[in-house]
Amino acid sequence: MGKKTRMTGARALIESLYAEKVEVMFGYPGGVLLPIYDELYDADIDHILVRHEQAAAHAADGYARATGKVGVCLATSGPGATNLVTGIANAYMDSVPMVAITGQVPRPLIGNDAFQEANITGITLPITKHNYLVTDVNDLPRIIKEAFHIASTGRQGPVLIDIPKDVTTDEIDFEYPDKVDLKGYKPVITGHKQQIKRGAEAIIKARRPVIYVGGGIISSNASKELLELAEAINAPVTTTLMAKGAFPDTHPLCVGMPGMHGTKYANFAIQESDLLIAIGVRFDDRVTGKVDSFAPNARIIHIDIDPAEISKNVRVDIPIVGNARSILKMLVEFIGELKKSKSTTTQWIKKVEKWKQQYPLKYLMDETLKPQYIVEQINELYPDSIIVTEVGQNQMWAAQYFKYSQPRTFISSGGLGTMGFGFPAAMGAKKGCPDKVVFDIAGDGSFQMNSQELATVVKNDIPVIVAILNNGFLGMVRQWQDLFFDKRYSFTNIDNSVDFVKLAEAYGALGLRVTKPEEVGPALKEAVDSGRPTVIDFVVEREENVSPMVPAGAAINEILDLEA
Amino acid sequence: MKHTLAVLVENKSGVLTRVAGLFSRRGFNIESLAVGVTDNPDMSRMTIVVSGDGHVLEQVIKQLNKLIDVIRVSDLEPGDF
Repeated sequence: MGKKTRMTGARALIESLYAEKVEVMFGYPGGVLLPIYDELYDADIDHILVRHEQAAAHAADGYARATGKVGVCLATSGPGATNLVTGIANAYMDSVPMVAITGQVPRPLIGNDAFQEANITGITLPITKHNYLVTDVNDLPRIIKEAFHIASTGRQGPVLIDIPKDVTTDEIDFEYPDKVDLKGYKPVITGHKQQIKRGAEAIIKARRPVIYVGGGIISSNASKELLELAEAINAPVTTTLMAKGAFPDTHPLCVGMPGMHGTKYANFAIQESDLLIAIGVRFDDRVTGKVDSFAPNARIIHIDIDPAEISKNVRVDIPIVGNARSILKMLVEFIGELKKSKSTTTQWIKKVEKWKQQYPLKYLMDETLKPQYIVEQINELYPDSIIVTEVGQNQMWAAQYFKYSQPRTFISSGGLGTMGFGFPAAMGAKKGCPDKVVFDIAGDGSFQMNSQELATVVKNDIPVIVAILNNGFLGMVRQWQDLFFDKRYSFTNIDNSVDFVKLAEAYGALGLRVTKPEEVGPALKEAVDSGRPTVIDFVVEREENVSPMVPAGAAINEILDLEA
Repeated sequence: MKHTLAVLVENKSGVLTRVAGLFSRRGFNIESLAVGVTDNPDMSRMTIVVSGDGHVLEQVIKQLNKLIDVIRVSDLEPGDF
């Protein structure tokens, strides 16, 4: 910039978004946003008009996860802003960089219960990394600069900026700041050298090490460094739901997902390990099971960008705070200097390998249409896709039966477990990666939570493919009722709610129905080849369970086979 | 066990809510809390007495440090004040 130009707050917002290189945003207009939307009318930003603000937040989230850039969404005051809340909470739980911009009633009306007023900074306090109410137009460029900085650095997360209408019409001598100066925000990036050395020494001594990785590998783009570490020390790698794709599922050292619906061999390996190398993870209850019995024989190295995650749920022996990528680089160097011999873990790898052969993920294939088979077929035909999921059984099957090999190709609501996330997030991912085939692996319950976005993908020509694993149940809850509530299917039967083919067609999308295994491949090809937004209604076996499963409250080695 | 924390924060509206909200949603107990301006008008100092064991205290301090408006947290030993 350099030179100051006189302009309105609304214009200054657009100029600031340009300065942050925002190319795509998802939003929905409203009364207090009129000045901003008037600027967006001919702005050089690809603004996607959604049909519900929640979808704007999820789409920004999906865009951010697929591209690594900051996702941006925009909603009006009051109900517009509160409709973003689920999407913001979702991004917060999964540490996704996002900037949410909301309109607010004019400053003199704030606190008066004005029309469409909601205290959105108050509401989002516990679900944002930080938030702002802009009270002076002169603060606007600095706040936007800070918001993007905070969202995208350290442990990433959503930042909300609430802008009163009269701030957008006030005038400012615009100049975008070059740098931020936040006294209270200095994330630790470089790991402590001595701690990394201690980690390297512990790794050298370990006989049964397991590398347990999470979303931190993907946010810090550390997949390459992770591969180097795993191969240097010859240790099995278990990837959480958030880390799918961070380490290739096809790699011999990969043992898949840990925890509740993880593989038996990942859980056994953790339970028998003498050293757990935890990277970018937070020891979530879905991973640890009964926390007192988690990895009982292991010392734990915990590498994480967020100091507050260290020893939060599990006692850690060697904490290393910082960026996973830079720490892994140093760790591999130190291990190289200490000349680790690969053979020290040979016996261990053999044992893990044996478990792998003994307890593979499996399901019973018969003449009926099995949801797992559909996921395998998508993998078979379109292995380079981005797979986005809804939440529940569909999500677990998508995690278990697709072999991910690249980071940012599996996108799922992990921490919050938000039904309705998948479809709008898939739309965001497709906007960010237009050359990729993008599937939303969905359930018939989840899809109905945001199916109105069919209008958005058709109108804006965003050809995502929704693969509904339609069992006419809220399947995961039904599974728990089956196992723990004597099959009393209380309010989980949603069969015949809607004809998804007609629904797709009503919006102008392609609708297909599949009822037999042999129709799966042709339907997938038809969907991809059509180049159109498509909904495929896969009418699947109704009472298939996700297997294996660790019952709530059990140790992770007490894992049950549930397949028929 | 009681601990006294001296928390240096940005002197902005809403900071007290951020700190108090953090305590309640993470289940930490505030025994007492006092806020005052410092010599620097941009900063305030909160003196917070919390009860809890070492693990709770460690989490309180780490979570406080994550708030953007918190500049510094010090755990005052008996005799420091």
